[in-house]
Amino acid sequence: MSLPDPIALATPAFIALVLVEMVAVRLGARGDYDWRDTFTSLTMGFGSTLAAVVFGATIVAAYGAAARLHLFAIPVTWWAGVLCFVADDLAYYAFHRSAHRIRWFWASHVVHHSSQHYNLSTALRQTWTGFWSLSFAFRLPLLLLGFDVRLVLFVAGINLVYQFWVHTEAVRRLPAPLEWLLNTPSHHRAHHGSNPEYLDRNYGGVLIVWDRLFGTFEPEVAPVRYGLVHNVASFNPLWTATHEWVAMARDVMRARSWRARWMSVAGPPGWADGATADAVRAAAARTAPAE
Amino acid sequence: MSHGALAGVVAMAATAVPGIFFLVAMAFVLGFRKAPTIDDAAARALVADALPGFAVADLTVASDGRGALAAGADGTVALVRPHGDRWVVRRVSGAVRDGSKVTLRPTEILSGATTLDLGAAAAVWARRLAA
Repeated sequence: MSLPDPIALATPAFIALVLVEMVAVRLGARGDYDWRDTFTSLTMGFGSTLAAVVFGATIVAAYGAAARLHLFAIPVTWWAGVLCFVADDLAYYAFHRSAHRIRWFWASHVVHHSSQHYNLSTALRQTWTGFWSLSFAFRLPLLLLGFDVRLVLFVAGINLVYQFWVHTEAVRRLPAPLEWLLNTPSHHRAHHGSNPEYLDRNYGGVLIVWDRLFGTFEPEVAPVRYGLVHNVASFNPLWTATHEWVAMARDVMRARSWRARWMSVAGPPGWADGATADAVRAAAARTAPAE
Repeated sequence: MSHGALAGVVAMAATAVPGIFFLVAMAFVLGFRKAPTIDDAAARALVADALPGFAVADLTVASDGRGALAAGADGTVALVRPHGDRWVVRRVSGAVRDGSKVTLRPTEILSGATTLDLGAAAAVWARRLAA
């Protein structure tokens, strides 16, 4: 039994919807584009698909090796698909939280947050270096449990396709039950915010209930400032892909102790400059006017 | 990489690259190519957002509104400069003054020079940046 590749099937729709959103914004819908920013986002997306081709065979081989150690033999059925989808979304939450809290993982994931815009092209702004930051490893537990490799890849594709449409300002709020259950445009706008209260919040892929469960949920209240606290000053795709790796190497070389070297790699982003999300929140709290 | 994978990459590039240029061209044609300006309040807000804890002691916006310099209470200087239709903020030092214009060259990779026309305040900023 073969399963389709949801990403390949959806890619033409991604391109068409970016164009539709651009025209809609021009006609008055909420949102904004900048042609240079769009160039970087789309080029990053293209590069990430090339990286997937280059490293895909290695990742599938790793998944196959893990699957041979399975605890259970879970068949490829509809109910296994549902279970796998939920388990994969939890694995995505773990990956995404790590990608924001551990600099080695952040060095790849920062690419996705490096736009100061928030539109459907931002969804396509993906890393080229995810293989090196071991993002694929977060799905290994699913294979060790006994889910079929094809099923894991299929639900992972659906998860990624779902996340495309939440990258828009055009959709304000969904009905309350959906806002409670799902990662929505509103929740994900907050995730892309550099406002102190939004830093490192709303990691969920499809389900936002993981954030509610693990205490990382933040509703969108204040207008969101998109991008990074320390925004990238270039539209060059190669620099966009590598700037945090370069900064990490610089910090390791400047570090004066082994602890500092370790924290420059495995600590939270901003540790070497004293600008972690927690430090930014604390600084903002100190300077905020008293109520 | 196998021949099959290579052929896949070539086929992908053949469709994706024209697609990218089409969408970027559409963004340009549809007018998403603004060159915004800032005022004093906006520049202060940008500095506060980008440099938490940076207490602005003095700030001058360029005469054309396309950038600003902010001096911190700690003696450091922050540059607010355009990035597409948005802004980036960087701590800077060193500058070349030519009359009312001050040119800064951040050491960051691919960060080009920025020239701001600061009017009568140029000399003060050049001194600060040289300190």
